[in-house]
Amino acid sequence: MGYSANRQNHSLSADDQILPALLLHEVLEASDIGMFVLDADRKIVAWNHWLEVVSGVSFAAAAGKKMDRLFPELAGSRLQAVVKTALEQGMPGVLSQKFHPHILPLYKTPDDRAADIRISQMIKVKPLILDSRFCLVQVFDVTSAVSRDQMLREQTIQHRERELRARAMLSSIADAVIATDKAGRVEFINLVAEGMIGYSGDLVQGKPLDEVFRVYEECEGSGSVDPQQVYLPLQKLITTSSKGLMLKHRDGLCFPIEKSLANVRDERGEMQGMVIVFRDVSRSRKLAAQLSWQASHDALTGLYNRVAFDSQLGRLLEQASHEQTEHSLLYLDLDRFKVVNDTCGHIAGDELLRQITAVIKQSIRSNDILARLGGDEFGILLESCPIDAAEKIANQVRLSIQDFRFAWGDKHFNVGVSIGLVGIDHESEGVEQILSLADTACYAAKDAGRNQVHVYRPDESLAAQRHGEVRWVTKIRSALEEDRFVLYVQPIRPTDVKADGEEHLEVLIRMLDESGGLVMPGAFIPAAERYDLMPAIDRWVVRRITALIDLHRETFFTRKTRFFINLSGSSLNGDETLDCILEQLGRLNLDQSMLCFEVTETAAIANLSSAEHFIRTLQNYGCEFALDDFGSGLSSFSYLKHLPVDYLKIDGVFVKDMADDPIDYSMVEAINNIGHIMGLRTIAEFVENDRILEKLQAIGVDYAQGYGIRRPFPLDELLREKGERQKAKGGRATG
Amino acid sequence: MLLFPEGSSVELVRALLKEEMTLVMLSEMEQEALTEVGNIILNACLGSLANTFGDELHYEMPEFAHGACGMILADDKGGGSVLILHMDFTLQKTNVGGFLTLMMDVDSVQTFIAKIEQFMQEMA
Repeated sequence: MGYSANRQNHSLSADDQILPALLLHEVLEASDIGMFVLDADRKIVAWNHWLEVVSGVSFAAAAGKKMDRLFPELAGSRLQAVVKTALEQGMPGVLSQKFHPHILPLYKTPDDRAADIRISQMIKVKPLILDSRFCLVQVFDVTSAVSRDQMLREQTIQHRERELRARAMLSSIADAVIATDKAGRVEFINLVAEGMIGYSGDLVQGKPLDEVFRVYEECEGSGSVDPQQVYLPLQKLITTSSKGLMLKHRDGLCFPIEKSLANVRDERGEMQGMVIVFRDVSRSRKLAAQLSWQASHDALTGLYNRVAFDSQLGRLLEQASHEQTEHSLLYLDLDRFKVVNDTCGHIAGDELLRQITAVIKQSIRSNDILARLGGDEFGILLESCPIDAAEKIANQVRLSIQDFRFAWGDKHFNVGVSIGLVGIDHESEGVEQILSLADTACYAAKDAGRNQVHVYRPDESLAAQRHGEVRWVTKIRSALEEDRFVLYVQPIRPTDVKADGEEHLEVLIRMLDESGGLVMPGAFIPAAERYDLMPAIDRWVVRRITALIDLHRETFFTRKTRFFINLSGSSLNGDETLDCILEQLGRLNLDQSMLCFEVTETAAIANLSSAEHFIRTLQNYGCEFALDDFGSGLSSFSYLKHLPVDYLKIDGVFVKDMADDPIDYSMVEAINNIGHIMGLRTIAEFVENDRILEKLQAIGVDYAQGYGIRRPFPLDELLREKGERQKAKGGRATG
Repeated sequence: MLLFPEGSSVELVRALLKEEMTLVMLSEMEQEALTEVGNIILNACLGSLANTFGDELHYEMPEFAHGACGMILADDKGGGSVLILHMDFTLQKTNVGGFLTLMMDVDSVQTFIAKIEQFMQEMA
């Protein structure tokens, strides 16, 4: 405490003695910083209370001593040097905490002293120019400032790290992000956003958002912007919905965007700015458009699909019910599409459909609605086109398809089309009814021999149906129920007369009408095929024959009789007929080689894989198979490899004229050769006379069947004959 | 007054404090540290001037200020006369250039000029 004697002796000028020395002393003592004064000899002349407390050295102990005597560690320190400069040259000095944190051993508490935790200090040295030199040394405790500083620094670093991380995140996401301050000026913009607006971040920093983020309202679904339009001001930008917004790039290009906005609020809930996130939606829009196109169009031909066609039909129906307009619907079914598809593969089939599409388009008006309704079915809606005009158009379409030749590799195909035509007017009932009528009309066209247009007329159709197939359906059903079918057989003889032993018989079906009259298969089979009654008929035949064999087992065994039973295409597809046959075979435990099933080429082709399965399954049980009407299709030979049949029945068309027609003769010869090469036995149908038989013998065909051999005769007759023969044998044996 | 262009200052700060930071980030402690450095430089320069003139120069402790040149100079409290000395000083790694600016009161300027004249005569 106190002044040194030296100080007291120092005479202040009279003017300076405004404050009494005691007051100055008190000020020094009360001060919250450390102060001491050195004289020209660097001896301590003042040492205030603050210093006494933190240094543990009393003024009494310090007075008159040099600093390095009090604190030996100070010898040669910067503090000494600064003090020297001040005293000798009158220059002030400062020792910052940063460079000299703890020069003097000053401690806040005894504990700190024990642990040598010194006060953080900043020291100022000032020369006092009086009549002799002194130097004032001020020691500031900056401990709290240092720790506050440190805390701030750490927080700053953490904050920076968080910000860097946030920016890194914002930079790496796919969406564009712009952040603004509360005045709407750009504070941050990520790379994606830079790319979309066309300005780099440096350029837009601090600019009003709406100046760089130029958004316009899209002209209704057009994907473009009215050039007269001004960009949306910030306020509008905030409130407007995200739909139909277009962003203008710096170079003028506009593209659709979607945006979302979030306000940035501080702890007190005050808005500090906002964040706009937006993305280029031209891709997703394109995708959405593509999806809606795919939902309503056929990918192969680019035409409308069934769904779209139905809705267009609905629209026309609606229109027709209000206005007195007439429209027409054409239902098209290609005639020989399957042949192309099956012989040349799906790629060819697809190509054919594409080409046909182009052909049809040329025959109709551009505003007519053309759609692909199914595999090879097309629909055309002729708007405001009465039925008579529509029939002309339908015939044009038919003719152009008829004239069209489809080439695939070295193959050429003619395809035809059967068209059903239905008018749409205020009397029309509904979409489904119209489509079903059109479908029926199309069938009628097919039934009438294909490559035709059939116009549905309300008055006619009922009558036609009454007299047509529907009538047959009921007849067939009741015949099945009442067992009104009879079986005929026709022998298939070896051409080699010497060959003997096996007896081959093709089983043929006839129907009896209510009055007992015989109905030939040509009359009822088409209807049975149409209305899916063939499997039932086939099963009836199978059951009847197996029962017959069971009944006359011995007779047929001795004669080695083999029944050739015709199976329809639909029997091959389902499991029901196969199961039925297997059941019969299992129950009767027949000599299984007694059954041979005849399938037509077209039936087998219609579903090759199920036909193959059917054939292989029954072959495992010893049944045999014959391919009927072979040669009539275009594709016969290519299919032969896939069908594991045992007999080839050469189509009668080639056989009946082969004695006179060398082409037919060669055809038969060729088919026979191929059959033999493949290890099959060949059968010629329609053998009407001996001349044909001779030719067949010359070629080497294995079997012959036809009127020239024997006409079909009732199965009962066969049984009778057998009975008589048996009797005769028996008679001889006994007699 | 010591003036450094901002770029150089940053270099100086980095070199002295051995920390990556910008001027805005400087805390009180660091500003003091710079003040200390400034003071050392001033002492060195003025000390040699004083030696040359064989007289003492008296001046205030420097203070740290950061801002545009005009603003800092406009802060000038009295004198109006400014002595600008350009200086280059070299740290181990970097060269940092700056200006030493002395703001003087009128009397000082006159005394200073007189000193220089005297010095020139002596030299002649």
